[in-house]
Amino acid sequence: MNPSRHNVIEAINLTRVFRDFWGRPKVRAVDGIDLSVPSGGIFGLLGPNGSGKSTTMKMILGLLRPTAGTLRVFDRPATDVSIKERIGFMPEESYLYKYLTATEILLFFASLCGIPPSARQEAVDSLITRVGLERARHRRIGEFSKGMARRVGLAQALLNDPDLILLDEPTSGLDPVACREVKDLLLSLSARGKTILICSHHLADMQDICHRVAILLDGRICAHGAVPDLLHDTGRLQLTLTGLPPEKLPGLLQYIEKETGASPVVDHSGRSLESFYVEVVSKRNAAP
Amino acid sequence: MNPRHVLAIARLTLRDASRSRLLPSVGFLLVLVITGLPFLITDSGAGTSRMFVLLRYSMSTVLFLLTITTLWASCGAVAGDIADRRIYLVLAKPVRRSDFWAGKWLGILSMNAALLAFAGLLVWGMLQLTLSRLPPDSPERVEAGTRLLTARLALKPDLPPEITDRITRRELALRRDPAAKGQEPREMARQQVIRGSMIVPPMGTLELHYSQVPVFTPSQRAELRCIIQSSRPEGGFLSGVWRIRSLSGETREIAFTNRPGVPTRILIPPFEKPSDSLLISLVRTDSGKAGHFMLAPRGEPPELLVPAGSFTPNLARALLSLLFRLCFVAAVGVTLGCLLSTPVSVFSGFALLIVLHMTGFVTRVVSTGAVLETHHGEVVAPEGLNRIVLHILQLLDSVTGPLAHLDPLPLLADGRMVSATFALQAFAILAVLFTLGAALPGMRLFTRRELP
Repeated sequence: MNPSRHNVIEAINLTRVFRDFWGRPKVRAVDGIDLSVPSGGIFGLLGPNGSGKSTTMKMILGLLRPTAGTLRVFDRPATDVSIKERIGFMPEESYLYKYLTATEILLFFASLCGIPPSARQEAVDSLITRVGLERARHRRIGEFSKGMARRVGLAQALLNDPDLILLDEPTSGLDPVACREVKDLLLSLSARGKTILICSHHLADMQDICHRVAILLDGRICAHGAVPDLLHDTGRLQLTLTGLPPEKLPGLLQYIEKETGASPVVDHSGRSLESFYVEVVSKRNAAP
Repeated sequence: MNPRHVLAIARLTLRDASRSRLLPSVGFLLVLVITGLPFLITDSGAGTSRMFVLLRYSMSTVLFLLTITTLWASCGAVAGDIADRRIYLVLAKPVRRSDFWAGKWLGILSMNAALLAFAGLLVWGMLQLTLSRLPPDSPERVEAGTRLLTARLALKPDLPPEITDRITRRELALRRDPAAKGQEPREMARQQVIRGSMIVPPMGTLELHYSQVPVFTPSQRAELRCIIQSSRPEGGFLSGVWRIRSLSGETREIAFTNRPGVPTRILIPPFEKPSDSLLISLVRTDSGKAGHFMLAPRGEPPELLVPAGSFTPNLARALLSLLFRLCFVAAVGVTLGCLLSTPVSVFSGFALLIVLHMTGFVTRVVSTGAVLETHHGEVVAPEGLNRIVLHILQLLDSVTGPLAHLDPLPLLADGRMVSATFALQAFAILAVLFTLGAALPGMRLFTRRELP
């Protein structure tokens, strides 16, 4: 059985060298990486700035050609235009036509995606609601905040109900509530069997949603695998107790130390700031 | 190529451009040029002179403005999309780069077609307004109807069989001569024979027969145009009588007195019955001091301009021919924008336009075959360099020639017919051949271009 059938993206020895005006090698942005993105789930491509994440993504989109190696998407060369019918892409910045409204932009992309004219308006309306832009649908993009423009960018990436969604820094520029909404949206898409590839260096966000990650550094993959496997530490154990009376804590600690020989560390962990913020803002918005 | 994608990108380009400041700015400039120029240039204040300025100078300025707008918008629309990375989103969809190229081209062209139509309507409206202010039956109104707001065919006299034979013999002799290559020596020989046949000796007469004259209404008037040179220009004024006889025998006589070499324009009084052929005779009445009259000093015999159509369709055909020219300009702009950055592509585009309009220089260099030469005709460039530059200029000449030849504005301003054949030629050469010549390499290179 061909293993590539299970992989949406398969790169072998993928290399990309940028050259100067005279054709001399200037930067080796991607340096012989082997990458397999399995079908379904959320795959995170992590790494600092300049590590080759965006270059890899542009090669997957066919905007750049590999200098060496092979890259296949849906079992076809990445430069094949037809594969883009199954791909949705949201770039790092919202590159949109500032004189057009959100609805006009999305209708334009809907026509490029081959959505029939009769179904376009409905598809656009549904996505506008999904990304929370109902009130701003007739405003020009030029008047949008960065976060609002990112939402339009996300909406256009989902227009063709793609099987593979490529997102470059999807939560960048979003407020915490919008960030949470986007993460929930991605998880729901993943649950529907979509494959999502995210480039980011926001590790907390990635940990929240990614099933698998690869860490790129100087164009090479330093680590890759399923997130639980990568983060699993067999020597550490976290025990969470709810409703423990404070006076019983010293006795419990003594018992653990006596029985196991290890000194436990007490961490009064509270809620995350993100969940607290989301709750406060949601309550305020819900108030009449 | 996917027409649905092309149309979607064209619509987006048009919509984006219509909401930017470009469209209202150019629209305002067009209004300014069309309404202001006739009052700025004409000093006599005569209605016909305003009409002439509208048709010649305003329309030329409109073409100049739209050429610049087309080039600027097409370079900017594509190079701007690449620089601002909007193209990433478009090319991430199942869109071929050739679709993107064609969509941008169509969008820019549609915008300029709308501007051209607007300018054409404004010119037409201004002409009608000026005409309506001229008193009925006034000489100015007749002049406007006869010379400007019309579509006239230019007829050449039928050459007598012996002259045609002489031209054929000369051409055959030139074909056998290996030194006389190309069309130019043959054309020169033809003109030489015609010049020889258009000489009128003192007290002599020359008859010119114009057949296949289109039937025009008695209220319309034909015009005879010629330049009479004399063998002794110091002999003073040239005088004589033009005698024009129609097929039905009606005769009109017009006396003339001219300086040698000055273009003569004679409006022929209308005939009562239509005639499809005219016999025009020049009868000399001068003393003969001026020597021989030469009616075709430049090898071109006198031409008869005959009304053959109305002005409005003529203007429409002229506008259509201009649109075909803009097709080519837009293709050049989009191709440059696909390959270069906005400032570099705009600069290159303007430089190319300037070179393309240096028709005289290019034609002269190509005909002489010497790129760098002194006043004495001595070639100073090394032979290799001369040959390379000459090949480039020959290529350029193949573009500048048709561009100059297919300019409808001189015809329009002279009340001449911009024929359907002319518009078709402009379509075939400018909109198809030249546009494809700019588009195909542009699409190919853009498809190969990487977008980092």
